[in-house]
Amino acid sequence: MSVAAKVNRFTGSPALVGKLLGLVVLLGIPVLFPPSDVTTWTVYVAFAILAVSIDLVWGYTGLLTLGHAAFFGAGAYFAAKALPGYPGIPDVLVLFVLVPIFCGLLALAIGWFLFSANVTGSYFAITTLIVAIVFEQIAGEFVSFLGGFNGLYNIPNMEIVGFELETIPLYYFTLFLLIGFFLLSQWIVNSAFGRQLRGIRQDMERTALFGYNTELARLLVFTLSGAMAGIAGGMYATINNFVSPPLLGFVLSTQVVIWVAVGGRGTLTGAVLGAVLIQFLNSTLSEVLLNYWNIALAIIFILVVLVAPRGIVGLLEDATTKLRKRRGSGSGLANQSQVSGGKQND
Amino acid sequence: MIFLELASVVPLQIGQRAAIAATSISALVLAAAGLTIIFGLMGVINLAHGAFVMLGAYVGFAVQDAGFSPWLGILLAPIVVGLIGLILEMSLVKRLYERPLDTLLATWGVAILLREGVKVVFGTSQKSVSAPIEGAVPIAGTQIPVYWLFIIGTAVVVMAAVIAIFKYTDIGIMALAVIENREMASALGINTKVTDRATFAFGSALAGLSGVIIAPRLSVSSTMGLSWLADSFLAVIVGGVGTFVGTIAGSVLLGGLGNVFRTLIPDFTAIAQALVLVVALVVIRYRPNGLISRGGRE
Repeated sequence: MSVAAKVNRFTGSPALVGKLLGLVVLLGIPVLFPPSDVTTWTVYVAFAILAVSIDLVWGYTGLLTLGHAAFFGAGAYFAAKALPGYPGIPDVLVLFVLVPIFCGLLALAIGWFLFSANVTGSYFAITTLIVAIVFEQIAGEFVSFLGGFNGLYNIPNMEIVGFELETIPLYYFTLFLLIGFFLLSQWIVNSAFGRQLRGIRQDMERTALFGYNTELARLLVFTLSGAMAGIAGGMYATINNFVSPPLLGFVLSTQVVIWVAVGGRGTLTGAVLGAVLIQFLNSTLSEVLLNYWNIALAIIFILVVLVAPRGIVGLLEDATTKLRKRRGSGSGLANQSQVSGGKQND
Repeated sequence: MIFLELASVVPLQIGQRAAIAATSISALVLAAAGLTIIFGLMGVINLAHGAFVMLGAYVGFAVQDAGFSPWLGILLAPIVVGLIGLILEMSLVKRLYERPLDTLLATWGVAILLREGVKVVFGTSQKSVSAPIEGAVPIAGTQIPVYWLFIIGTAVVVMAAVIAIFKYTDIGIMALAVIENREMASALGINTKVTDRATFAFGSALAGLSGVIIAPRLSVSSTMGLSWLADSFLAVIVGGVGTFVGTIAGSVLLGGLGNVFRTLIPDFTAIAQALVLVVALVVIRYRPNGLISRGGRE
């Protein structure tokens, strides 16, 4: 393939351009914002990992989870207890081995409990919502062990081979994790297993009739997603140095679902875009608009659900295909290459 | 001697406990009855139901704040919330009957909208509403406020009325017909759209009524909707979706268990609540059709 063809393919793929643009913006955050804001952005990135984990379960597999913060918060609390409590264990081992094992097992247990009884659809949403409420209440009640409603303070920053990660390195480390999880998720959803997940979303019975074990597939993706949410939570604990019961709760769970819905469910770019954009707007616009911002966000969310279920990414995709069709009608050759580019996007 | 003392002390506490339990169960029955209609019968997952209960309580507060009789609040709340339910059905829900999970999301958006709207209008501080009836009567050795009896009485009367409406009146039977088989009902000349609207508004009005009636027993705040939402959904699902008797059974089980756990572990009220939720989860898991399932249907 010639260089020109490669360039053509690149410009013919707006999705790729969009992703790279987003990556450049995220890489440039420490340059664009003062260090005090960088920690806030690190939190945004940690929550974006949670959004990706929710998108895997909801957007791709069609299981609306309203309780995913339970795993995020469990990871955060686990890190908050283990990091200062056992200084002998390396932080990396706690955050990237013990936390995902703990949260993955939690998700496995809850997932088995629900999937083995074939709890799906709205019942799945309501039962996961209740799981989050139960987790939040438990964390709020154990005052001596989990700090009760005041939460746990003074969680140390994470260390890698003796080096403590300060503001900017911590930001890039978290961003590196997000990119890693994004690529991992992209690989998963484009694999045969990912196709099976989408099959479950579209028609679970038919997928089962094709001979797939849908219960096992749902259990796998839920466990994986719970472990991912747990790692995001563990990172949050070291970024924020403080955890409290709302991290486990139902409000955070539904908030992140709203981010994913507005960004675009069923696309990983949409999950990250929604999470980062809405958190950024939350902090900038709530100062100006006060409570009216929350009202505006609720209306945007309702409108997205009603008329644009594929979110911002879906709207952008529609707009670019329309634009390309209009441009493509000019010359035959350009038309051909652009159509093939369009096919790759779908 | 000790035994005799115990014998006189224990019934006293149990009497009071039972009265508290009966009152909270009654309020839950009212809220859950509205959801039995909207979720159980119509199949609409309305996550704004808790916000409707909250709105009912705020109507009670607004009426009292304006200096009118609390009775006016009890009259107005179902009307106001019923109208809001009507608007919700006509604007959102009717477009999403074929997309249940999107109904869930959109109504959650409405719940946030109502919560934040109430914050803007009434502020974030907790409000208290005074009961329309003062005084207490001695029952079983304890003083029970008359208003508690009014709550219990209202729940009994309203439930009897609701069951009767759906069993014996033309309107109720028409609503059930539309829910059972939309095409056939339409072919028989029933205006299905109007019936949907009216049924949804009626369920919403019941939520408003439960909110305004229980308001004097609670501190009214914009965030109170969530616990009502979770409790009513659980009462409906645990009892058996789509039956009023099931909803009463679910409310009695959940409300009763909550009070039992709270008596057993008085220092951990949140754990007591969590235990009730866990029991509900186990019931949903092992008896997906609820305690009392509607027989003969798939």
